[in-house]
This record gives sequence, C-alpha cells and structure tokens, in this order.
Amino acid sequence: MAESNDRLERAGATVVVVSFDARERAAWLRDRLHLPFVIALDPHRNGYRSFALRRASFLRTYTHPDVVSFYARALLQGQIPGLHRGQDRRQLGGDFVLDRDGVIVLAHPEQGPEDRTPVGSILRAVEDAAS
Amino acid sequence: MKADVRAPDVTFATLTGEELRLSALRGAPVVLTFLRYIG
Repeated sequence: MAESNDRLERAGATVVVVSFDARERAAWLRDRLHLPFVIALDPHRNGYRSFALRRASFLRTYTHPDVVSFYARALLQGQIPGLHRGQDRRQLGGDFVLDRDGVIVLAHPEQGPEDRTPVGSILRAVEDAAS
Repeated sequence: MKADVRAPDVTFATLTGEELRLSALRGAPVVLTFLRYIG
C-alpha cells in the first residue's frame, strides 16, 4: 500500500473514497485501515446513481463461488461472519479515474461482490492522466 | 475500460461536514472509489 500511495502522490492525485454508510462507520473504517484519503459520504447514493453503480442480484450476492468460499474459509477458521443486518449488501461499488479535466479515463463499475479493480490498473491510469 | 466521458459533477459531504464537489478537484487526477457496505 505504501508503494501505491507513493505513486499516487507523485502523480499529484486526489483519492476520494465514497461510502453510503453512516458517518461513524466511515470514520471507523478510515481509522482502522489508516486511510490517508478523503472520505466522502453519500447516504442517499446520488453519486452511486450518477456513476451507474447497480445493486447485485440476490443470487450474485450470496451464491457466487468466491463469496461462498470466503465464508466457508472463515467458518473453517472458527470465525463467525457478521450478519450486518440492516445494511444493503447488494449495493455495488466501483472505481473511476478522472483526468485533470474531469474526464473519466478508467471506469470499473463492479459486476458483483467479488469483482475488484486491479490496483495496477488504477495506478497506470492515474500516471497516464498525470503525464 | 476507457470511458472518455466527463464525470458527473456530484457533491458529497466529508467526514468533517464540508462539501466536496468533484468539479472542484479538476487540475489533477482523481481516483474515485465507491465502497460497498462497510462490514
């Protein structure tokens, strides 16, 4: 993570992490992970809608093999996964890189809960946008 | 995926209660990461 942060800093990039969760939860996450980024709150999900981030289907959320194996491993290690009642587990996230003019040069709306943007792709897009 | 379209000018609130408008960040690259739920 330190190397990634260095590359982001060299590119002069601003990183904004958006959460639809409550302010307290977002602050907890920032502190727990020591996130050096701007944390933005979007409780009404206007940003999520504006960037066309969907909600996954029930089946994709709960029965994807990667999701099932994650929870199976946790249970085998004696960990009881939290149920997170009351939270929307189907809302998907995503990653976007904007260039200096606000043009989207990388867009990765998640297709499911197991879908993640490779960090290298984000860093390359940032460096290209900065050059 | 390269989209080549201008980002919507969304306004968020920061943890300190300030307003953060995406267009105010122009002039440098921006990484925008939308989280799923926080477990």
